[in-house]
Amino acid sequence: MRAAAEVLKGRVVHPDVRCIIIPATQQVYRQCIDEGLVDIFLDAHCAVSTPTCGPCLGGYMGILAAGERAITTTNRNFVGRMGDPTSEVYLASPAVAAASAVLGHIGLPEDLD
Amino acid sequence: MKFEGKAHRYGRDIDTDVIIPARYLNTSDPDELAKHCLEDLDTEFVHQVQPGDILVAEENFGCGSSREHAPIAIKAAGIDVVIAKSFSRIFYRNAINTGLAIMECPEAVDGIHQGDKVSVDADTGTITDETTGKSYQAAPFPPFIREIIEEGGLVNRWKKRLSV
Repeated sequence: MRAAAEVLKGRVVHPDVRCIIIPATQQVYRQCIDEGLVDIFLDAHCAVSTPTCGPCLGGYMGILAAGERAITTTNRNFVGRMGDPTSEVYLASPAVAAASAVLGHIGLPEDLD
Repeated sequence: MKFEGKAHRYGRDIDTDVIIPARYLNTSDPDELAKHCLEDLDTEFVHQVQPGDILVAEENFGCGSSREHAPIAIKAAGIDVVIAKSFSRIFYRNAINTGLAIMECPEAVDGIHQGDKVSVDADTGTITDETTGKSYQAAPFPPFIREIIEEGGLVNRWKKRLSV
């Protein structure tokens, strides 16, 4: 969360991208609030969720449509894992996922400046 | 325990998301799960599988999530036994606990072709490709695992023992 906030601070997510931030636990959720990370995420136009498995298993909270492409900090990129079988899942670190959200394509934090 | 059926052959790393996609996990009904078994990998599988058929796959079958719906869907689709070069750890346990027979035998996987008629004697570990006439030797089930599978899985075994 801190790594993502470091990249997103003072920036906004690309208009073609939806950036969903999901804390893994209630404790991490609280810490994000206490450390001001949630403010950084909201200022960057991210959607911040309560702790949940969310779209990681294609359940809800942002599952992928046909042909949609995700860069995610989850750990599985099987066919159809996060939604439609024709969607694509790329696995990355929080810093790379955050940088990609701003860039509108897969890229590195160094590519931002 | 003896099985005989037609082989359905797939590759390596068959994950639990293609065995039964998460979008169908809003039910635990085996018959409903069976309708969607392997559909993101092979839409024809559920239309071609016959009761008693055998699934054959390469390494790491069942990798991915811990969903017990995966072996349940395979079993309900009509598959009696899965033969693979190796199984993912959680799937291996889930299969036994839900009463799906599984066998590890790399030589058999290399020798069996799609559509071959295969017979399996789980008590001796002998796998025979009736189409080619070749036999292969896998490790037989230890007696307690055989009992769990014969009784339809761990929950059924304990239901019976506790008479509930």
